[in-house]
Amino acid sequence: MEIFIDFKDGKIEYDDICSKMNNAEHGGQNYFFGAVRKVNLGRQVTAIHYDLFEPLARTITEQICKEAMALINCDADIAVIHSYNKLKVGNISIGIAVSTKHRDESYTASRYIIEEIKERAPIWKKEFYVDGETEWVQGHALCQHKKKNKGPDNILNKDQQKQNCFHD
Amino acid sequence: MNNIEVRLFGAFRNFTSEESITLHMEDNQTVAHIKEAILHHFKNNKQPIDIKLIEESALSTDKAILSLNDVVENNSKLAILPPVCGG
Repeated sequence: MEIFIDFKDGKIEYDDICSKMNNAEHGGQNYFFGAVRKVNLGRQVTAIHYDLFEPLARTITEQICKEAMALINCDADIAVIHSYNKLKVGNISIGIAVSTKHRDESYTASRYIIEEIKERAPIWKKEFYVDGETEWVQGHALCQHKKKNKGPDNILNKDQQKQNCFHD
Repeated sequence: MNNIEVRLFGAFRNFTSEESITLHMEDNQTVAHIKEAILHHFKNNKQPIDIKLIEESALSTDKAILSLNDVVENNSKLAILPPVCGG
């Protein structure tokens, strides 16, 4: 069981992720790539600047990968790379690879990882628009009260229910 | 003197060009007190911070997100994390 996590200055290349899948015992390799879209909420985007808090992002991403492994309960190799700094439309900002013996588990783990990263990893995006304006994208508060209950009850250490808000 | 350094991320970068701010506080402050101090810091510097941004942000160390009632070690280095949207 291998977990590879990295953060890259600038766009991700396909081989950055694909090269991490080398397990001859795994017949299923699942790849997800997230790219910068041209339009978001009706606004024409030219670029996105990604900001991230690397030490905590690494810790949380590793935790998410371990949870994914617990969820599928089988041998798996996982690689996650996320960009930081400025990317243009079409550039890849995140790559996730999961390999497992059979394909079903690789789909499950990959989906779990991207959904959890979106809600928990300390990463932010500032969009640049064609009219010259910029805006930090609205996101998921890490001091949220309710948590989605995903996977079996024995998911490792998913406690993010800490009270961390003025309005509690 | 208890100097708490708070690194800034995301939308907080709209309010200053600095990577972090330093709060001069009494000993053994809770996360709640530090968040209040962050709000006052920006107000005292006449920066139009939105209180909702601070309310919805979490404080963390390099390794873990902190709870509102946690007591922070003196002279700690923390980060303030607005609502996240990676991926």
